[in-house]
This record gives sequence, C-alpha cells and structure tokens, in this order.
Amino acid sequence: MRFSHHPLTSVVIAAATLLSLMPLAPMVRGSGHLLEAGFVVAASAAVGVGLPLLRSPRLLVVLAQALAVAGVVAWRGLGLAPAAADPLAALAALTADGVTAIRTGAAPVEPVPGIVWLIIVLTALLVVALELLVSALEQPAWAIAPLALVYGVAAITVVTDLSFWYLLPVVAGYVAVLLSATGVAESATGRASRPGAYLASRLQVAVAFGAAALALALVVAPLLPLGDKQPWNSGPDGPIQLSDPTVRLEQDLKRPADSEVLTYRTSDGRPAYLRTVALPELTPSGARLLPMRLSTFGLSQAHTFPGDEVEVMVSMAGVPSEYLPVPFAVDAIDAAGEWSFDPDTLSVVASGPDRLEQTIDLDYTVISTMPSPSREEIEAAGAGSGVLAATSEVPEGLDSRVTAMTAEVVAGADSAGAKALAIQEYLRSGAFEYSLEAPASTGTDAISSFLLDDRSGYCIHFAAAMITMARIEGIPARMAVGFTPGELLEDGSYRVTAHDAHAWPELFLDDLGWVPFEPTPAFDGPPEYTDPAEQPTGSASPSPTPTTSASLEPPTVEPTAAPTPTLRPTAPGQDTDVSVVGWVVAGLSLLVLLALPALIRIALRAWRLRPGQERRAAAAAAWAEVEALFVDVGRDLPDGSPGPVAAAMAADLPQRAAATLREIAHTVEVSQFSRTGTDIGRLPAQVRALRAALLRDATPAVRARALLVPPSLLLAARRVDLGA
Amino acid sequence: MNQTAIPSLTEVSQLAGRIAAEMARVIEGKDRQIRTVVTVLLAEGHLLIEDVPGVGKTVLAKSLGRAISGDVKRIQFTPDLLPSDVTGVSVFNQSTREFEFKPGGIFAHIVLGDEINRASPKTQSALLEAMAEGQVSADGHTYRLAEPFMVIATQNPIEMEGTYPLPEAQRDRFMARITMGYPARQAEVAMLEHHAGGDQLSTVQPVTDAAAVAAAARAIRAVYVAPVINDYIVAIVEGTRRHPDLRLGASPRASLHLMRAARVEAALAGRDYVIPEDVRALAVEVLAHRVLPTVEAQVSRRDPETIVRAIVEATQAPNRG
Repeated sequence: MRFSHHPLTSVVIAAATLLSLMPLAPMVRGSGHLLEAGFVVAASAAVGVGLPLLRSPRLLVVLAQALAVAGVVAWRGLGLAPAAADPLAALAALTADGVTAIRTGAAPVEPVPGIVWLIIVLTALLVVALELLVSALEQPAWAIAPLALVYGVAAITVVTDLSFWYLLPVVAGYVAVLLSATGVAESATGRASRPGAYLASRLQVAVAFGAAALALALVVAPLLPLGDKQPWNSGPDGPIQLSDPTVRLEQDLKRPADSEVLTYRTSDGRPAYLRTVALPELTPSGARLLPMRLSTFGLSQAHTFPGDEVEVMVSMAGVPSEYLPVPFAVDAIDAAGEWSFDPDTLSVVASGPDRLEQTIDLDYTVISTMPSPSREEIEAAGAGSGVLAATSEVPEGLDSRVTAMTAEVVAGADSAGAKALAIQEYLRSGAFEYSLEAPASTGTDAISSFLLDDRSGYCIHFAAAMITMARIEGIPARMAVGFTPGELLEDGSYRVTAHDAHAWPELFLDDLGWVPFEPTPAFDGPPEYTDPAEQPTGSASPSPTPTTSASLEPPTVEPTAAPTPTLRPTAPGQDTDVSVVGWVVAGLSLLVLLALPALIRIALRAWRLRPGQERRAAAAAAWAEVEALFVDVGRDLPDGSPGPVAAAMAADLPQRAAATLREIAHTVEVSQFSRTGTDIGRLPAQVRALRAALLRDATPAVRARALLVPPSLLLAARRVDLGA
Repeated sequence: MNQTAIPSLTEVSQLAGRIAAEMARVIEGKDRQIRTVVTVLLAEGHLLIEDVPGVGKTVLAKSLGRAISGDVKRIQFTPDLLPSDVTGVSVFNQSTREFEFKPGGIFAHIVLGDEINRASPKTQSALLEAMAEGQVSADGHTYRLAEPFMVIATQNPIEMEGTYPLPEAQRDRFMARITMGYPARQAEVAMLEHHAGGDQLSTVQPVTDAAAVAAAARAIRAVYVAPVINDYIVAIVEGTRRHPDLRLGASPRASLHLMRAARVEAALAGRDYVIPEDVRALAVEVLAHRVLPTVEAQVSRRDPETIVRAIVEATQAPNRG
C-alpha cells in the first residue's frame, strides 16, 4: 500500500479517537468526559493541520502534536485536581483517585475528576499513538490497535452487557483513517481514466476495508466476553429470567403454616432487615422489576453513602430463591455459587447454572453498610438525584385527591427528609389498619382506594402508598422486598420465617443515599417484628436498624474489599485477585491483538508456500511472497516480470540474496510462461533463504518492523480485496 | 558451419548482436532503431521508416544488407513506376522463342523501397501483395521470393504534395514503423569524422549470411507464447480499439505482428518463452502506425505513440497467475 498523507488526516484521526471512546458510554455516566477528550484531540488536530502549512517535516509535526496534547492534558489535569502546592503531587493524587474509583466502582461510574483525568490521559495516549502510527511510521493499517483498545478493555473487564454495536463507531473511525491516510484509493484508480471510476474504486476500497474490519471483529468477538457472559463466570445461556418477588411475598404472608426461611447472626448482635430485591418501577398496575444490568465487579462501591458496617452470617433453610437475602447496602458476599448484582438496586441474583437452587441450605457471609441516619440528618436532607428515572415517576391515573392529601400531609415540612418523615408518620398513625384481607395489587387504583377509602392493607400497600406520596413530593423512591428481622433466639441468632416476608420503601435522599423507611404500623399478628414499636413514637428514624450508633461513620471505602460476588471459599479481602485476573486477561488479549499482525504474516507465508499447489499457482504465490518480503524490509521492488525485476534488483542486494532472487525469479517465470515448466520443489526453501538474507541485511529497526508490523499485510489485503 | 540446421537461441541472440554491432559502426547513436530493424528482420516482417531525407534511412537498409551478406535492391518509387518494374516482367526471348521472366526489383533479400508514397497506388499494391505473400505470380507462373525477405520502405512525411500516402490497409502490412530522428550532436560530429575517410558503407563487413538469418528466423518460430501472454497481447490491441482518442484501432494482424516481435525479443534475451516485457518492448513501434487518432486528439497534439504507450501501461500484465 502506498502511503499518501491527506492534509486533513489529523482531523480524521482526532474524530476517530473520539469515536473509539464511544464504548466508554456504558461505563461512565454522562458525556462530560467526551468534552474533555475533545479538548485533547482538538489540540492534536489543530497542530496537525496547522504546522504542515509551514512546511514542517512530518515527524516534527507529530512531536509538536504530542507537546500540544501534553500541554492540554496538564492544563485539564491541574484544573480537575484539588489545589495543591506541588502540581505533580496533585496529578498523582488525581491519578490515584481515578484508579481507586475504577477498581472499586461499578459501571457506570460517576465521572469524578479522577476518572475524567484518566480518560483525558488515555485519549492523549491514543491520539499520539495514532499520529505516530499513521503520520510518522506511515502504517495507517495498525491504527486499529489503538482504536480498538477502549472497546476491548470495555468488553473484557468492566461491563457485562456491552453491545456489539459499540464496535461500529470504532470501525467507522478506522475506515476513515485508512481512507484519508492511504493512497489505496488513488492507486486503485490509476488504471481508470474516468472520474466515475475514481469514485467507484474509492467506495470499493471503503467497503472492502469495512468488511475486512467487521470480519476481523467477528473473528475476535467470540474471543472477547461480549454480552453478559464472562469467561470466568459461565452463566446460563441467554438472559436471566427474574420472577416477580411480590407474588412470592404474598404467598409467604398468606401461607397458613409458617416455615423457617433462614437464621442469621450479626456481628454486633442487632437485628437486620434482609432484603432480596428492590422494585424501582411503580406502574399503574403495580410495583415492577426493571431489567437488571448484572455485573460482577465493583459491588463495594455501588452505594457509597454513610452507614454502619455490619457482618451478617446467614444459614438458609431448604428454600429455593434466585435472590440472595442480604442487608442493604451490601459491600461484599462470601457465598458458594455464582452471583451477580445489579448496581442500581444492589439486588444480588444467582447467575450459576442451577441458579434457582443456589440458595438451598446455603451458608454465607455478607458485609453491608446499613444506613443509620439520625432524625436530624433526615430532616436536613433534600431529595437526591442522579438515580434511575423510573424511581421518580408518579404512576399515571392517580386520583387527584391523593395529590391533595399528600400536600396536606407534608404541609409544614420544609425539606424532602422532613416530608418523608411526615408521610411515614401519617401512614403509621391510627388512621390505617393492617389487614391481609386487602387485595394483593399495588396498582394505582389499589393505592388510591387504600389511601382514600379502605385505609386497610398490608406491607406492600403501606410501602406503595409511601412511595407514591414521596414521588409526588419529588423524592425518588422504590420498593424493597425481603424479610423483617425475625425472632431473636436464645443463642443470639435470629430466626426468619415465611411470615416475616415484608416490603418497605427506600427513599433517595441527598448525602444519605437510599434510606429505608417503615410506614407499616406495628400490629399484633403476622408479620411480627419489634422494630417500629421500639422507635420513639414511631417518628424516629425509620431505618430498619435502631439508631443506636451515636455518630455516623464516614463512608467505608475499602478498595481491597471484594469487588465481586463471585463466590469462592476465601475471605472477602482476598477477592482482589479476581480483578487482577481481569486485568491480566485484558493485558493478554492486548498482547494477542498486538501480535496479530506478526501471526497473520506468518500464516500468510505458510499458506503461500504450502506444498501441493498447482505449478503455476505455486509459482505465483511464491513470487507474491517475495514481493511481500521486499515490502516488509522497506525495499521497492519494481513492477514487472520476475526475471527483469531480479536483474534490476541485483545491484542493490547482497550477493547471496541477489543470486537466490535470480534463481527464484527464473523458476517462477519459467513456471508461468514457458511451455515445459520446471521443478518448483525448491521454491519454498529458496524463498525462506531469501527472507533470511534480506532480514540479515536490514537495520534492526526495519527488521523489527518487518517482524512485528509487516507493511506487506495491507498490500496483500489490497490484492485480495480488489482482485488486483 | 551447418547453416541449415536450426540454431540454438543463444546462437540466435549472438547473431543478432553481431548484426547490430556491425550496423552501429556506420549509424551512430541509433541503437534502438538498429535493434528494431534486426528484430523485424528475424520476425520475418517488414519495416516502414518515416522521416525527412538525409537522416540515414538508406544507410540503415544498406548496412543491414551488407551485414547479412544478402542481396540489397533499391527501388526508387516515382509516379511513373510500373507494377512490373517491381515484380518483374515476362519478355519474349527471340532466340529461345519463349517467354522469359525478368525479375523485378523485389527479388532480393533486402528491398529498399524509397519514398514509397510517390508511386501510384497500383504499383504500391503490387509491392504490398508480394510482401504479404512472399511470392510473385506472373503469366501463370509463381516465383518464390528470397528468404529472408524484408522490405524497408521509406516515406517522407514533409513533402506530401503530389504523393499517394499509404492507405491504412497498406500500412497495416508493415510490422513496425520507426523514425530515424536527427542524430545527437556528438553522433553527428562522429559521423562527419568517419565519412571523411570515404564510403563508410564499404567498411561494413558481412557477419553472417542469408541462410543463417533464415535459419534463425525458423528457430524463433519455436519460441513459446503462453496463453496468458496471448491474452495480454489481445488486451493491448483491443485497448487501441476502445480508446476514446483513436478513431481506428489496430487489426488482428497487429496482434499477430506483436506476438512475432515479442518472440524475437524473448529469443534475443536467450529465453524460449515470452514474458510480458517482451510484448511491451516493441508495442509502440508495432502498433502506432496502424491507429488513427481522432481530430480532437490531433488538435491537442496527442500523437499515436503517446496514446499507444498509455494503453500499454494501463493494460494489466499477467505477472501473477
């Protein structure tokens, strides 16, 4: 392939770099990081287009681009970093922040300064690497390596449900770079005399390369863990089907004979609500699950709000469940079998082959940070934002009197937290009656009639009513489903039965995160739990755990804590090596990706020199290999038949190489054009000897390039694609 | 020396080299033209030389004749030249009381037809028929021409008044057309020095004989032309028929001539098979005089040589099987 540098190549490279960042979208919230990356590539593009106008040598242009990019990176970095005397220390701290956030966060991560800074640095490295490859080394074909990097890392390490379509912008960028930076189109049109043919061949080249890139992607795709399957986590094929937890809840509550579900023991001896799942959506027909984005990484940082850390050891009875009962907000799990979690709701879901039976007789340990705000903190808190939009939607078709009533209830409360407390207090007041006789629905009509007429229901009605009223007041809310703390046994453990099944609302408050409330009034009869009665007049912090802790712990950030619920019989602290495995796999994949050109080249040579070919075809293939060898070592082989070409090259070559080349040329020519043909048996050995001689004669740099990124590959691609 | 035996291609190559070297002693700085002349001779074709007077057309023909020690006859074409002057005529011999054939100027190994465009079309066609068939028929008798037999015809492209330029069909019978061109300055100076010594032509020594040349030509007929090469030749010739700048392309006879010229090229390189380079070597000389450029091409000074060269370069060579 001839290299021809289009004046706007740098702009194309800048755009391609931005496109290659698209696979970050499911990993990082928002698009602010793209803007920052835009600064970087814009600097590169500006210098790359501007300097050549001053007739600077291309290598100098690339150096200047690197400097400009470094300048932008430093400027943005210092802008993002907390003020510090030593700029280097500030950048180092920023980097450490970013690394911590990546290692502990669940995708999508918040675009905290550290993350944005790392993305800026990554962009800078990518764009400089691209310029180096395309403009300085004149190897536009290998632009695919940096361009596919982000996609590869995204597909391998963090996101379990990365769509294949995220590869399209990468491919588009790659094709654009190829078209702008190679003379393929021009050289292909050299033979055509009409302008129409020019356009046609340019399209042909684009289609050919697009097809080649897609084909490559399809070959690579099975090697990468796309979708929700991961190589170290062989989940069931196809999407996981989740059952409706409210149905199960109702069955449990109304079951005439009670049965044990689990026993647990907490590290501090206090009772805990064990939650199985949260329902973010409240539709006119009731509370619903949303599709989960199951992940296995970053559990400990999925909910980083204050709370009391507690360790809970649970023994399940022979009860099948696809959800693992854990206290909110879970940080680490140590349980046999394969488990994934939904970063939005922190529901832990079985993802192993026998996922519906995974909990039977299971013993497991959970570390959670249970929210335990004081009443003052709740009263001061505003409504949080930045969570799933579904948790803020008031269900349609709600009776307008509910809205009016809500306004009445919260009158006098000036903050979201105070409103939440007022709603809880209202529902717990004597106005409402606990009754299992109420219809099981949590639909809009059922809520309206519960609030306005019947005033009688059980936990799901109280929970749904509080969620509805909170959302009316602009507070994100969702329904948690699980179990009340159960009955304290003599040995200090707690026993939870089917009748302890429960539902309660979680409201999202500023600085406090998701806070559980308890609007269901204490009541004689099932379900029995003691918690609300113990709280001062039912108006104290309704968190499921009594607010006995005097002071609030700062968020417990444990970078080394288990970032995965993949269950192995090890202590949570040792689970870090799972993420190490992820990075090692990523690194190895990258190495394979980088070694791909060399491997393809070797395979191509073996294919061309394979035995058993028809004489003419074997000779032609051997000559094609000779031409490729010369391209690889950066020598121009003139156009023409082998004999004259060999004669013309003889003067430039070492004696042995020239002699070998002449022998090869004669054999090839005779095989192709003469009546009798000749013995081609020695051709492969001769070609390999020529290769050795050429490589010996080359400089180390040329030799390295010939071995690692053979320039002839694109030549071969062009021949094949265009049928030239 | 057994002159009738088929020589090896190495011998053919050496023979051609000797002829060319001998001719080069009197024609300075015209290696390409000399090579073309030798090639056409060995390819059993005929040559058309178009150029102004005094650039060495005649010397070229005569030196070739001397070098191969063959008969050289010169026919000066004039408007009153009769066909029988060219082919020969039967006259009644009083003593034997029989008609006797008096061979015309065409009965020689090398026939120099000077200013062929000055003769009447009838005379021209008599020559061209003989060229094509290698024989002359007169009064019911057929007389075979010499072997080798080569016509070197010259045309003066400048003084065209009162002439009968060769029609396209007739030009097609010449394998190649060359122009001599003025010699380079040093070559012209050298020529003056050499000619000071008298008749240069007489210094040309015969390096072979007509029988050896004929045998070499037979040897060259055995050079193998692969089907892909034939395809290539036809592709080039077809290219002249499709080119927008040409209103007349080359004929199938052109393909044949191109193949024969390529065979000689291969043989001169010592090969018994033709490669694409052989085809390209003389493509312009073989094709350019057979095509007619459009008026637009003529106006914009795109001459047939340039167009043919472009066609040759644009045609994909069968370098890969």
